Amino acid sequence: MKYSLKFLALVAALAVLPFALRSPFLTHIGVMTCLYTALALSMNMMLRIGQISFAHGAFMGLGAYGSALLMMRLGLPFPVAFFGAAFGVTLLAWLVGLLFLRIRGVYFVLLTFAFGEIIVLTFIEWVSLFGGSSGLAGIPRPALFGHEIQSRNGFYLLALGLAAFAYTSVRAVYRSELGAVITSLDENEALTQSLGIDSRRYRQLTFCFSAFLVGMSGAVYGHYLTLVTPEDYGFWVPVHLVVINVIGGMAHPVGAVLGALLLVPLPEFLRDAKQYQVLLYGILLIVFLLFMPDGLYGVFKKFRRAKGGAE
Amino acid sequence: MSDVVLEVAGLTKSFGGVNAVSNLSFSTSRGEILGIIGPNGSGKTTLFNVITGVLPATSGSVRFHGDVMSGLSTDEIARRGLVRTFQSATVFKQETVYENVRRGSMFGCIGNPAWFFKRGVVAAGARRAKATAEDLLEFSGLADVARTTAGNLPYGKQKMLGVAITLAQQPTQLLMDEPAAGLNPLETEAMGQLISQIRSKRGIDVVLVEHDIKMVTSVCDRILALNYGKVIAIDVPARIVAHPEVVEAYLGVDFE
Repeated sequence: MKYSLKFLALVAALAVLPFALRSPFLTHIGVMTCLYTALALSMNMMLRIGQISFAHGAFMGLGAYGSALLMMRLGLPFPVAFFGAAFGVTLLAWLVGLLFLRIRGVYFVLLTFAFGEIIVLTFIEWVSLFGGSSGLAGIPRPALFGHEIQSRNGFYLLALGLAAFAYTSVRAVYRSELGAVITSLDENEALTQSLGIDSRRYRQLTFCFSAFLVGMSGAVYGHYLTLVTPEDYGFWVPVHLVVINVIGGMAHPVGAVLGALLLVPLPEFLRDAKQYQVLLYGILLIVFLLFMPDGLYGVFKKFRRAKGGAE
Repeated sequence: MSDVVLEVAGLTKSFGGVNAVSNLSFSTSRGEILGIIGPNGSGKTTLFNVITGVLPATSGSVRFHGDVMSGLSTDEIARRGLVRTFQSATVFKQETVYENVRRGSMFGCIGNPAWFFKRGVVAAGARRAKATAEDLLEFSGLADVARTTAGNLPYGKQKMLGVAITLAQQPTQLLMDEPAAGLNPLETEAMGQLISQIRSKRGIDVVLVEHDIKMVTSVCDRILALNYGKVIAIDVPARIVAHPEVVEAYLGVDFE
């Protein structure tokens, strides 16, 4: 079967799943997993150009606050607010990217970290707009084509659509000439430049697209929770996204999906044992880094190759 | 010799107070292979880095076919046909040999992401890249390892591949940074032949920096001897190896 048909069939199967399971708890996990899949895919693009962005928490927050405020303050319809917030985040990424992307490695991490903290502080201190540390409550439910999305299942479909879009677009980028440039930049920037590639422009483009995905995910996240608080968008977001990528495997976008499938449900199932969450997280990370550096994707690939060789 | 191709005039590159390249002037002619020799730290690689825009010049200028190159970015200079190879084997290690050369051709036409929106550019570029890659793998003797992952090739083949990648950009001037470094005598000879063919069959002008004096003297039309970033002499190989200052600074008194 053709790939696109298989993919559509999978998405369709996933779409009807909550209607069959009828479990609000599982649907909630589904929403979170889909959102984190999209978020992790955006971080995967940054990892591909070898620059871990700690600004992604802030970009997610700006997406959430942005879309909520555009609806609450300006009374804009959901699609306009949603895309307005996402494009706003992209524009901001473009502006800060002009400056930040000149810097590499640890310095880039620190710079984006500082930027993220500034944004979170702004959420806290600018009380009249962002509502201070208690954040914004009563965020309106989104409405699409006249139908208000109220149920969890509705949000699940929205989040699934977003994850499917993120996966399809990121995969398409990696398979195109654009992807060849991006991986080349990571593998050997000096050589890539000497082949005529304007590396700064390509990094800028990658950063902006990555921010666009994060902005959209943040917007859906805010509307889903109906509450946005500043601490949700601190430096734990990018840490979480990097861990998902490491555990899932960075070599293929499917790694981000696998990582999210494994790591997002964990804390939800361990709700009663909060003290063990971070511990388990740490143990998982150590095990993967030591024994499965290529992540779940690497394990699957090895397994498939071994099976293929035996036949 | 006919018209001037590369013209370096009064070029200086200083790091702190040290002049790695000091008021250096020389020019190359169409159809010429120029060798640059000199002891380690005499400014050869720095010179390449300044010419290709990796490092900004402190003063002086570089002209290529009459156009000023100083101030242009590395990728822009490369797209104008002035292309360099690297001292160590520099290839995309995780890709196949074929994909390496294909990218060499492809990247020139998508240097700026905005060019993706020009109609037909990517498709035409991809078609040409495929043909170029096949042709160059044949030319550089890598056709039989086309499907091998570049990182798994022996070092000598990786260096050949490094040259093939740069040739895929269809440059008019190649700057080669120690093409024979790390190669065994047999591979060095093959590299020497490849360089001669780059000129004779592809019509590409070459400037090469090299320590292997046997190779330089056999391949190059003229040799520029550098020391402490300055020109000691520029002449035909026979006269360079006999030049007393060159012998003292670089070749050693025992050289024959």
